[in-house]
Amino acid sequence: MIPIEHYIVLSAALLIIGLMIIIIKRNAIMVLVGVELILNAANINLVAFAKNDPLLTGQMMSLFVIVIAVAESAVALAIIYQVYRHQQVSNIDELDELNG
Amino acid sequence: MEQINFNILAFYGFAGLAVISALMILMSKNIIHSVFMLVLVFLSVAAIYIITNAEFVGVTQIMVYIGGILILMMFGVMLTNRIDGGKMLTEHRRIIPAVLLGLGLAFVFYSTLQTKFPLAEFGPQSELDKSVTETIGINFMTHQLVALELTAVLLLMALIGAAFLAGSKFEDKK
Repeated sequence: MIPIEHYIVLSAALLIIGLMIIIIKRNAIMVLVGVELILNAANINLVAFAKNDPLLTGQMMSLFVIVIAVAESAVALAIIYQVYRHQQVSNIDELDELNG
Repeated sequence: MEQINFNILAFYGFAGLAVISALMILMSKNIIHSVFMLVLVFLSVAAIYIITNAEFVGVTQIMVYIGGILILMMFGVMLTNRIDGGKMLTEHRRIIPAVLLGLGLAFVFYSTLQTKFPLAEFGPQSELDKSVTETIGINFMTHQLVALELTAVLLLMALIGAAFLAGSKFEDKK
């Protein structure tokens, strides 16, 4: 029986690493990678707390989180691609004009 | 007894693999290496779901993340970088604020975990009368039906929106 605290520690570690990736990396796709890591960290908590729940509410919630993550990732990649095609940059620091 | 020991061993192995792969994403400057390390993180998290009595979520994680999002991300990397035979590198910036923020957040979580966590005391594991996948299917079709339909509409919107954004040529007004 794995104690619930260990799940929380794993989830917190993934969340901190994801946040640091978002801040440190300059490439837009790496920022998206950090967001996916944070969503996975949240999902670990949901699944861990639903372990002893006969109604499986947490697992249902985590399935919805996965679906939302897919939609978000697809739209974000489309936006990154369109921005690259217009301005030829994929570094978020160099994006200084928003007059499409 | 043997089964339980193997489960606990697998949990710590996969948890360590996930954290080490995530740290390698953080350290590595090569974008391709980072995306492949993300495969390892997602696989380890899927294994942890399966250990934690959530087989359906684990299989969904493998199918959706590794089959869908990672392929999308590889396409995104290939399309938004100049392919000239060299390595695709990303630079690092603001390392000191990020490390400080990470340490601060770690301290906040650590001090929270020092107190007795009120939800930590679960009773013995209650036996499901149906399998996990069966319960999830019944829940989707009864209690969560509205949310399921809304999710379907949202996915359709995201599909159309992504196709429109990536496919259309906007007029250049300059």
